[in-house]
Amino acid sequence: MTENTIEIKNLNKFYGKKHALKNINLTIEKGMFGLLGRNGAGKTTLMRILATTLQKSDGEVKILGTDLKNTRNIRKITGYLPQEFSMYPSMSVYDALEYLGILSGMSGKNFRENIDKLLSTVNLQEKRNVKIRSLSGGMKRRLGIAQALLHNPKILIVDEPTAGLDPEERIRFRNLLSEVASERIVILSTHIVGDIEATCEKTAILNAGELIYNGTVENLIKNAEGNVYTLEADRSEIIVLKKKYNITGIQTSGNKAFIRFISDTEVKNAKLCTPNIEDAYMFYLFEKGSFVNISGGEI
Amino acid sequence: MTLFLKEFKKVIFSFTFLIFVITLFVMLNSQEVLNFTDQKIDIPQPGKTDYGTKYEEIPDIIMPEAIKSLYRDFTVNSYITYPIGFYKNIILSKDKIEQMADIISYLTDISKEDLLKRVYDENTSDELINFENGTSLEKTGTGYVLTAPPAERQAGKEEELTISVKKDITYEEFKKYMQKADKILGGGSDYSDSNLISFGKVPINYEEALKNYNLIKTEDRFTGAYARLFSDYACIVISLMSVFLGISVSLKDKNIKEIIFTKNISSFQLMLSRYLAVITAIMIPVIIFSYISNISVWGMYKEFKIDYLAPLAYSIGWIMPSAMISSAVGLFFTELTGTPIAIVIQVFWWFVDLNMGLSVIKGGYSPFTLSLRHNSLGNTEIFNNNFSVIVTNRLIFVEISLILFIMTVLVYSYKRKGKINVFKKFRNKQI
Amino acid sequence: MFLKNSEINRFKKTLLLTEKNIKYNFLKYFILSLIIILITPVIFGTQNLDSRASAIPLEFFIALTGIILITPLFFPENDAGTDELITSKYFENSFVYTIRIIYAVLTLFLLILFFVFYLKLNNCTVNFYHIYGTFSSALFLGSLGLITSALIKNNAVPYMIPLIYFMLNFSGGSKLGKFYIFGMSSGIFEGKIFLLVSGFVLIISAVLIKKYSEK
Repeated sequence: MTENTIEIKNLNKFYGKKHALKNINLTIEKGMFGLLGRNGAGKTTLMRILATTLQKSDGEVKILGTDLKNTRNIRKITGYLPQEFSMYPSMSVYDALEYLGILSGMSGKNFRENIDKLLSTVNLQEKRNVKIRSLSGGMKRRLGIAQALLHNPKILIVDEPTAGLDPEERIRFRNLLSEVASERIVILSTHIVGDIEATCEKTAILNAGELIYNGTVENLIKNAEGNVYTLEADRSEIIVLKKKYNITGIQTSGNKAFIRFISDTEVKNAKLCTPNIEDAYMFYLFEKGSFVNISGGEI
Repeated sequence: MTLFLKEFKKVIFSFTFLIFVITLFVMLNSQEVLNFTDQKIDIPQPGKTDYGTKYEEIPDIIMPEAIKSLYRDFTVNSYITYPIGFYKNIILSKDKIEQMADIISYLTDISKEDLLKRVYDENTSDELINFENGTSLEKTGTGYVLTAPPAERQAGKEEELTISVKKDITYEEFKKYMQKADKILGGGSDYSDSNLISFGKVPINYEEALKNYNLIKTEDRFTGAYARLFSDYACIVISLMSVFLGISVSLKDKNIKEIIFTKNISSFQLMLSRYLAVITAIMIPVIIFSYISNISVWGMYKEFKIDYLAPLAYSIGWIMPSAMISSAVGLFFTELTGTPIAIVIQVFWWFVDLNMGLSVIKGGYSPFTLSLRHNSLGNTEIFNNNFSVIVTNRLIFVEISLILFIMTVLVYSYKRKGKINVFKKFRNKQI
Repeated sequence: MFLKNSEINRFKKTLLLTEKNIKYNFLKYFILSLIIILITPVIFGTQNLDSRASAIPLEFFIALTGIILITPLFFPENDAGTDELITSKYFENSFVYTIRIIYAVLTLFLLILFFVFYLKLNNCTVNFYHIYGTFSSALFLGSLGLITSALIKNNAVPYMIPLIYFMLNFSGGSKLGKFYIFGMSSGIFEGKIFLLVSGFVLIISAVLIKKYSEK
């Protein structure tokens, strides 16, 4: 079983005095796995440790049976798309893939064909001679995925890949990832909850360095059932309502406002509704007491 | 005001600035200008034999000395020149030797043939090398043959030809011919117009020494002389090092350019705060060090009225314009290209300027030197006589700095509007 | 290049890495160095110089190309994003650094060789020591920049250190003893070995520092 999974046991990471990752215990299996959490929760730290660009302070990590400290062997089987993906700006897309391909330990067999194949997978064949600095955000991310896959890794680690992308790009990217996940373990970290809902079966939530949820997306949503309400109110009442409830969404239409909020106690004059993953996420944080009032302050 | 402070902090708390200050200290220390306690200027005492020497344009001294020197160089066909401040050894080709012989022949009364006979050609050929004393080494078919100089030749060398200038040559004419000789040599020789005075070495007498002393006492009030010497050297260092601060502060906001571009500050305000911050950051250690240097002598002149503000005046008047231009170069070219190419430009300029300055004798000033020089203690008379040139020089550099500054503001504001993406291929814009 | 759809072996991989690095990370510095070489005769006048006078353009100007070619060898990875990406790869960074150092040092040597040869063609008295001596000074200067770059991630500061050393030699040369870079111009045609060896030691140290600070 361990030969096909990533096993993380009691993983700790300290930055000086700051305890960035607190006793993480996690098993990740084949398919798309979503790591959810706020900015600063520790997602990137965890990603970096798995990608071997950061040293852990304590704990044990085994990737497909290989201990993390065998850095070179791990790098042969993992592909990494960092959050701040960038490359020599004047390099062309094709040259970048060739260069990174060699560095990734890509096989010499069918070297050129494999690069061409990847270019078409990520839909960048037409841009093969374009310089990296001229690429749009979405294209860069696609290039990022391509370079992570060059050596056909069994593990793909993708850190916040959709941040800053427009909706169309984001969807395209997610689909790409799902395609790729069929034969691999793909770990996707994000603070955009919608990404998880669309692509992942299992997810974990990191909050202030701690793993506070580890299970299926389905269960996360189930957990919030019965706790999400909608309410129709007057626009002028919004300020009051904000103080009263933990609002996850406001829609205004003329003088009316439709607010969506979570509550662990029954609210008589509001309507129960089916939670979406955002509600579920917020509710889970709220339950765990790590909730900060999201309603926002005075306008 | 706070914008200035923000930019100022950025400069002060940078690694570049730390290295800048350390370098300034190390350089000044290595030239021993931070402590002048062993260089007290005493009033000259009458009756001494030596009060130093000076150079004066006295034809009766210069002409014989110069022609003797030229003849000596001519006979060994080896002239030392400093065309750009660097030592260069000139060996003349056959027809240039003849041209030189014509000049010497005209000025003295020695015939051209006589002169040519005495030239030992030091050019080596594959088969024969002639040495200065007449020995020759010749490569034959079987080996080498070393020939000692023939007796007459050796004697010929010891036979002193009386070399003197013809009586009817005027000094003006003499200078003209010397200048021709200098031209044959490619410039920078002792015989050029500006360097001829180096043959006019005369001892300073008591009265002159006293006059110099009094000038230092009344005009420089002692501290001025020390401040001037300090500034000479500090200026050299500052002219080069300031460019790095200009570059560093421009490169720093490369990564947050997007945010700055959209903020509501005018380009002019931002750049002005930045430029002022850099100059302030440079001048603070300069003024501190100049006072440390100057204070070291205050104790020695307790009974006199000294100028306590001399270091400040020299720092601002002498050194600051160089700091301004150097950092402006850094700001402008970095803003324009996004690369530290300003280093190459400033190093090149500084280097050439420094060496041009070396070939000008101690008393010379030019309106265009970047590092203004005065590398002797005292010499107040020359300073006074050239005061207007000095002021012109410093003003020119302040003006050029301001022009560069305005150009930097323009470039910056155009970039903000998205109009310029100059030298895109050189910029390492991050994605 | 000349490769078709076939297997590429390790040698070809190394060649490709070299080619890409030269194309994207080295060319502009090479061109700048060429400009320096071309400007030198304009500034200095390079005909009929004796041994000592020939050393002057070499030590005072040509040697600066050492700074241009060697100091920026770690710069492409100064950007945090690129650095993280490259570091996560199977091939160690020091492999690429070594490739860069090799071609940079070779280029430096060839440029100096070329210029000394040019001097010889112009009837200057030069010999192998001029090549060796200039290369030693140039290498040392460049190595100062490289090791600074290994210690500080900055695109300007690493140039400062060798230039400061250059300035220091201008003014207080005698105090530097065996590490005086303008020896030949002062008529001293020996002792450059210290600069040469130190240069190599600093370069190797720079790579080692990079290697162990990345761990």
